Amino acid sequence: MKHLTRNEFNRIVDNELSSQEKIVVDQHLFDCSSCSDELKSYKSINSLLFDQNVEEAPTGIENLIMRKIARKLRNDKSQKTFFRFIVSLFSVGVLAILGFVGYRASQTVLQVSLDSNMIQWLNQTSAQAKSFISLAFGEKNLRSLEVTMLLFLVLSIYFLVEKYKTIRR
Amino acid sequence: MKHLSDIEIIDSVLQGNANDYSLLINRYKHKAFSLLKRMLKNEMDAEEVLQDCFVKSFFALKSFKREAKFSTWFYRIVYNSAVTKLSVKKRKIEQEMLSIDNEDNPLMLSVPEKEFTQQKGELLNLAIQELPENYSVVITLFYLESMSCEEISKIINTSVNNVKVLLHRSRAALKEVISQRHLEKELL
Repeated sequence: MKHLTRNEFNRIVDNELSSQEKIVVDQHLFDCSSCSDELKSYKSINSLLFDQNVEEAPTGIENLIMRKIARKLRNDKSQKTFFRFIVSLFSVGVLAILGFVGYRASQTVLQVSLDSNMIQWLNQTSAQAKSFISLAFGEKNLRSLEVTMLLFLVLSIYFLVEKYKTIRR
Repeated sequence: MKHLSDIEIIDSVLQGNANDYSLLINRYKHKAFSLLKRMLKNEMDAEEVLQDCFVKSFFALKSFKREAKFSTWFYRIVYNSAVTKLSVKKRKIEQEMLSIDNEDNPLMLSVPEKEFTQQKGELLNLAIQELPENYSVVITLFYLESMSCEEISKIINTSVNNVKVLLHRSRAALKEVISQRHLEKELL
């Protein structure tokens, strides 16, 4: 029989030989001192590896990790608060736009059906809102307020998209 | 104190007891550190990646499916993080080699000769660190973690037969390192 191969040595060490293979291999090992020595070294490598030491992680590493986690949790919380703020801003923007659109529509297109209670209420509310805003910011600033609202809406959409991208990542 | 299983600890953490996660850290930190140190061949890098792995796994606990063991799932994170770190490191070294013509500077991944004068356990660790990363991973998971070839195959994303081949080759490679360093007397 030829000398044992590396694969055969490994299979002996891992107890993977069939009973028939084992008989043939044992016979060869009995006759061949070179393979017998080689097997000894394979076995000692194997037992050496079973006895290997675990390398100790630096002391206090768990505290460092827990601190990192706590910091990240805090950051996530503040991000959530920011997200809620943006959602509120977005809602305010949408409501404001709807209000202005409603107001303008009631002034022009829906003027024919002014007898409707709903439209009357809308008209009144919009007019009140307009006069309140005019009082607060002045008549001239009314249009710039509309533009600002629109800007808020666009910004909110931008932040929402960015947040969505972060979540997807 | 009652010995909690990994799953019990995870359940507790998911219920809001974040501090219980330190139990998992204490359970796996040494073995994961051994694996990382052998793969990255640098203590500082191993420590940094170990911290990142624990933080990453904390925030991914919700996505942990209980089909596999926690250890298998966690070591997969450790292995992947180490592979990423190694590729970044190799790219950095390649860039440095391009900019500096340093023929006398050997690759920084090898273990210094002078370190081969220590005790048996340390000598073996240094010999294992000399092996290529995939060999040291298989040796560490198989012998230190007592994992089966099947579990290892899931961690390093390869077939069971491939793991067996790697295990065989790594033993032969370790034997080679030991004889090259003339450590037969000390180790075998």
